[in-house]
Amino acid sequence: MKKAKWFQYASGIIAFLLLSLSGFAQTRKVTGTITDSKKSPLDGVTIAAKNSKQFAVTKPDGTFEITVPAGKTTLIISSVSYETQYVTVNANESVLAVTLNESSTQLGDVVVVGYGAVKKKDLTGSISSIKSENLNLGGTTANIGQAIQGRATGVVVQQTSFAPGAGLAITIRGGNSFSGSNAPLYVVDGFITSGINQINPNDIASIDILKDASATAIYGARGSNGVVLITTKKGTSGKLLIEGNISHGIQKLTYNPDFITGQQYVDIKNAIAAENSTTQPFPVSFVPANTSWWNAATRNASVDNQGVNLSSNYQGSKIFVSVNHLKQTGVLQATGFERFSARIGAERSVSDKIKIGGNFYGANSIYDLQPYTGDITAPLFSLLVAPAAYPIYNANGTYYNIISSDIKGNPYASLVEPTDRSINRTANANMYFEYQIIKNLTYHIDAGIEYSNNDEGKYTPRTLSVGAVNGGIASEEITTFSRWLVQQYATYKYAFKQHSFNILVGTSNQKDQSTGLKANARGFVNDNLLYYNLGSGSTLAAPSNYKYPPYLLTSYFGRLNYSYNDEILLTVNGRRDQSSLFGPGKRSENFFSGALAWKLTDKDFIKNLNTFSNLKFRIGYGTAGNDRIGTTNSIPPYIAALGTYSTVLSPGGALQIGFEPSSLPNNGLVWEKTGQWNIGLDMGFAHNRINATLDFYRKETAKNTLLFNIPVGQWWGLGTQSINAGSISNQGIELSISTDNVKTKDFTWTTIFNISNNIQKVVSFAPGISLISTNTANPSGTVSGQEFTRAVIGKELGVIYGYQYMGVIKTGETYAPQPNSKPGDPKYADLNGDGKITPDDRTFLGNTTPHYTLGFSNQFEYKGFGLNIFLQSAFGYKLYNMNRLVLESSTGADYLKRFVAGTNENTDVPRDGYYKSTYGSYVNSRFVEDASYLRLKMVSLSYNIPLNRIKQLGFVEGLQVYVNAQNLATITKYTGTDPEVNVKTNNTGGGLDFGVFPAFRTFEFGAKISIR
Amino acid sequence: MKKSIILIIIISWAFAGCNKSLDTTIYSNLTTANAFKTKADAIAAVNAVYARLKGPAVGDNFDYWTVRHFALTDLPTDVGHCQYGGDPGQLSNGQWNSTNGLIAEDWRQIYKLIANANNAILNISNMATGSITDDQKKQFISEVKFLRAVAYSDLMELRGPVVLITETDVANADNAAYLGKPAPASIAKIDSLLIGDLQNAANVLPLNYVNSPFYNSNDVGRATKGAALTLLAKLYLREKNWQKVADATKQVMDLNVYSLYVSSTPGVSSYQGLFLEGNKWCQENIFSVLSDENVNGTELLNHFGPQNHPTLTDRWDYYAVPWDFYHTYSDQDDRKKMFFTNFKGSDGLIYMEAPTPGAIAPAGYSYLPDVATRKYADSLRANDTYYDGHSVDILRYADVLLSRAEALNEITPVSPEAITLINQVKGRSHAPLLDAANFNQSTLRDAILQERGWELYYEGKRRADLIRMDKYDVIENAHLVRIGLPASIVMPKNKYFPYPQNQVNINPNLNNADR
Repeated sequence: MKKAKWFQYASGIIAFLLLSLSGFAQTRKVTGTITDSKKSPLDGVTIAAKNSKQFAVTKPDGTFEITVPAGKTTLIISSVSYETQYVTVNANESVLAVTLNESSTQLGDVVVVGYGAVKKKDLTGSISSIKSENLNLGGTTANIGQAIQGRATGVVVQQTSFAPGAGLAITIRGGNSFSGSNAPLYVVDGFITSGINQINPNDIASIDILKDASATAIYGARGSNGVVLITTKKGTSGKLLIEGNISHGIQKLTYNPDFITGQQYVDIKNAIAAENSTTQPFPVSFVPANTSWWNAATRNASVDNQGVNLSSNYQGSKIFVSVNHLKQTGVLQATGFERFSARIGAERSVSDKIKIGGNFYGANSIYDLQPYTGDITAPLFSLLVAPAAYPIYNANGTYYNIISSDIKGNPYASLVEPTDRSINRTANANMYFEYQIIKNLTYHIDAGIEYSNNDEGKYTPRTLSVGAVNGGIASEEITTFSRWLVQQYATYKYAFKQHSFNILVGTSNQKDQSTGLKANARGFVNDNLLYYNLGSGSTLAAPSNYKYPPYLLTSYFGRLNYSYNDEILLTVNGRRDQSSLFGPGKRSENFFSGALAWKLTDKDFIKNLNTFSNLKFRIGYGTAGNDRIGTTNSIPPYIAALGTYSTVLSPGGALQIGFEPSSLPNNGLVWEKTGQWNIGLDMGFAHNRINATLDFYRKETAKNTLLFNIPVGQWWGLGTQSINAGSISNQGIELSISTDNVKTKDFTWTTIFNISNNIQKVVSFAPGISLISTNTANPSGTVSGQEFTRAVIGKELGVIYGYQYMGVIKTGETYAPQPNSKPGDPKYADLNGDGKITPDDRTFLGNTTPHYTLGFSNQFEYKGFGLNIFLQSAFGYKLYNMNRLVLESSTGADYLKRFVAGTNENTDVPRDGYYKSTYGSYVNSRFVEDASYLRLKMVSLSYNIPLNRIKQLGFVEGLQVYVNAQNLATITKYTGTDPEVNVKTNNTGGGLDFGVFPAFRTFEFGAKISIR
Repeated sequence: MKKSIILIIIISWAFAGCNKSLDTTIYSNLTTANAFKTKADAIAAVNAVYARLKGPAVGDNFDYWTVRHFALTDLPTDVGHCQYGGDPGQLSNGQWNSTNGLIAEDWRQIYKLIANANNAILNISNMATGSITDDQKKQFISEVKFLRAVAYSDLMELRGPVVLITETDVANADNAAYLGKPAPASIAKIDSLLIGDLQNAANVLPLNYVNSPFYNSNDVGRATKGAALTLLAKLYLREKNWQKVADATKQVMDLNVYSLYVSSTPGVSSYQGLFLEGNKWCQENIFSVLSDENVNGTELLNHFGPQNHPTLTDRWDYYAVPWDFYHTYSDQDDRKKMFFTNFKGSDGLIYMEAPTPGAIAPAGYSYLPDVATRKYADSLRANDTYYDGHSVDILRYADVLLSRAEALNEITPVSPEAITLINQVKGRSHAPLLDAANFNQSTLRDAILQERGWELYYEGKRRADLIRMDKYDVIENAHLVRIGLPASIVMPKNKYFPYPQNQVNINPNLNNADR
């Protein structure tokens, strides 16, 4: 766009000079203002006079001045993203006010690419762009992940937990890495950020997701998982624009398991004891309660959002300021999330040659949450398995204590009594400076810091037994993260005849630093001070702190864009990255990419088809890298680290310090490298009312370069070792279609549809590795986690691996492979036919990553009414429903269906659960469920109250009221918490549904106002 | 021109922010490069090996000798039972398989100690002269080799041949080694390493650490000459090398350091006094793992304490004793009083044994499926803290006496000294004494096995004793049948536990086909 503008200025001036010199033509001047439909002035609009060589370009305030032939003339007013207008100017007219309408085609949109921007029509790589109006805003949307879910092809967003303020798992074109960090790289206004969940989604103007290597290679290292470029709002309005929004929503639980009553529980437990000829756990005198622990622990919750932003664009100075407050209470008692945030974005063209700008963002996020990590220590697990037979309170009002293998204490008290408050404070400030050194050569530098401080305080009061014996336990842990990033680059543009070049070279330097400080105390006078006065405790534990080695990344990069006749486009990228995570001699790696695009629209053989109004073919290949292995270890893997592990060696003696190895050093590690092919077609039909993009891709890691902490034999003293472990491939197809179905004065209907398919495969493992497995969490206090997924060559990552369940053994039945089993015991298939049930009888039971994801959005507008219906779907995957496993053998309604000899034999539910049998395992096909779903993700109905028709309220540009429902309905066969949940986000083992924060739906109403 | 100057200034300023070198700075992390410079570093490496005998200083404290090891040594025998399902239940009911979590955990925890030992030996050996004396090196390495021998010996007792890894393997480790699939080393090979290490340690280590030239405190928890000799005797016992058992136990006795504990507190029997939480170390302890309830407390009490007890509140009763075993004690035996047989619970119910299995308790009563032992659940402890400070005796003198008695009976059937030694142990607890006239070699073996059960239950010895005496299948199957379970123990299949499935996945040379 910039380039075009400079050309327009230059050509306009030349044309004017030529005409002035010729001197004989009769001319006159016409001035005017060009605005968009919202009355915002438009910068850079070209105004040309028909049958004349005259033309002009609007200034930032939308004004222009053009010299036209005398008499009646026609002006051609055009700008990218807007429909071209032909305006007839009568001989006596000299001042014009023209409003341009946004064009239905998005081809003119500008797409942000790394260190620059190009028009969508000139793209050579695969990039998904989402404008703010297409984001999922409102309701409980608190972060980018929620905002883009289902909106872009090839981008899988899973709401792995429904906890307030929880982040989402985002993977682009299939998990590309074994390690936990399959997350893409996030870049906000050019700054590589780590605090993506803290950003207020309402501040976002657009999101561009770089997917293929030709697009991501400019980011070299860490580009292999894709890059999400976020552009925040800048001033767009000539006059001061004030926008406000306020909303209130309620959240209702959607996960409500069926529980048995207290009496039923007692009867079952005593019956099992009687069957086992052992002592009955509930004596005759026990009077069961009938407690609904689930109802006590959950509630209808609320979400409130208030925000104001002000923006202005005046004489080349743009500014945008915003504040926002989001407050969400959790559907689980005593949970919640609250965020205060503010942003300033400013840019000013100081002169023709110099532009400066800066962004500041600050957020304070408060999480009231205990861990919901799918673990038996989390309160949610004990709430699920708490028998209704026990009361919440004793007769004297104190909490009733349960002691069982699953529960130690009172599940309700463990939820509501402890304090666990995390406060995250994030600030990001950066500035940039651009200077045009000579014509067509621009120098850019930006520098900034990001700082985040996480402060987690915990207090266990005396109402819990562990708190009581210790007189209260308190701790506070403060961790900090800071990033310093300096990027600079020069851009040179050159054109002759049909050839045009755009060359970029630059360098980037990044330094990350983490520190932490923790203190604990116990034995307080009372429970009133929580964790705010550790010094008042009678027993102070030694404080601990750390400062990790800084992470350093130095990069050099370059890009060449070449265009021939605006028909053939070529992009070549190169980047050299150097990371401190690798050992000496292994730190540098080079990444390259190339892409070619061919615009076919105007070719005769395409024109003659009379089908395409736009057609572009793209092909590209490139490499991208990953060095994110040190993120879980505090120290680069080539260094042999020690930890402390101390002990007491004399009665009454002090702790004596011990040092032990905490890592297995590997100085042979090299960069993970991924190569990717992409072939794409951009198509427009029916005058670009239908636009479609189709991409095929295949990516594969270079032979055995995947970085992973691989399990090694315990004889090494540590379970894992950082290694270049193998390679995987992902290939897929992505299709997105957007259509303007109806476009009349009063009624418009637009549709956006996208569907993606991704198939992943493990291509190779490093010598010595035959498989990588992942364990479940412990399903009970005395039952350990078991292997439940396996990655092997030829299959995708995280495939569920377990026994084939065959129901229960009936009375009188002998099942040879299980000679010690009794009637009512679970029965497993002897898959290898050796006459025994051994771990060799396990098999693959289903992949856990969706093969297909789909989004379907319909926007209807009729007069002032707007209706948006958004469907989202993922299918072709399974989950291991461990909640169902624990419910079926503890408190769930399915427990009533258990095998009882002679009475209830026609059942698949074992007599006494799965944990006691020597054969098989609870990881079996019974709990592997198809999780495919189609979800009515959002329905939003809005009405614009036409206040501006009232003269006195003319300053009110818009007042919109709306109602909005999220997660309204879901079609799925899945019976667990929610088909999207997944407590194991590690790529090698996903697909576990266990003890996660329960899913809910949200109903919201709100209003937005804009005043100018 | 003016602007060009500004530009240059900005560029130079920007470059000042660059990473000049990619060698990152170590601030708070310990590494092998910044440790092992002084004697204190060497001691820290030694301490971390001791530390792995038990759980961490804070947090879930279940590791190795402070509870979980007993799940393999005592739960799958006649002296132990767990009423819960899952991993301990499977072990207790003879229903385990290679995916059992406790089998995997014990393997991991023991190898963690071995790895710490290898690290200490390697790095201390490599320390420069000047930073540490040769005597100090010898002392530290001998302690560590003793600890490594404890670990290998426990590992082999339960799994037979295991992967042998020493400081030499660690010194030469690279990526290929980490991903290697070593075949398990034979028992003979590992034993010969351990015997050499222990003989050497017996020569180097002091009798005790009173006024030690190496340490500032009297660290009774450290390895001594007596400990090395006792472990040697136990190794020979497993090998059934009777004469060497007799010799090594004699050496221990001749040190004149150890004797059976005798209580001087009225109302507290000697056996109860030996296990009181406050009695962390006494003349009977040869090698123990020590804990302090406030500094590095264990969760022994949580696992062993009875449920619903009025003073030891909120304990879990995971590791209980079958009533059948309780009933084998003589009524005169002090050791029979070490159980919570009958008490009024915190809920007002009377807890006691059922008159017949499966009987339904009348109102006001609740029947206990098993009986909880006081061994690690000290009902006399002052405060009802969550963590406790019980010591666990890995090697104690009563075991030396009984081991010697066993060897002597093999060398000379019904040796009079053997009877005397057994009666020393019995006499301390006022149990009826043995009369040599009533025994032949075979019945005395049975009596020794029985005595070892009564004296050493839940001390990590029972399974090894049953297997050594070829009685594991008979005795454990009888126990299983009595509680209504299949007689699932088959020898020699169950001589060793299967290798953990997660290790078999990594290293197929660990073969579970016959176990």
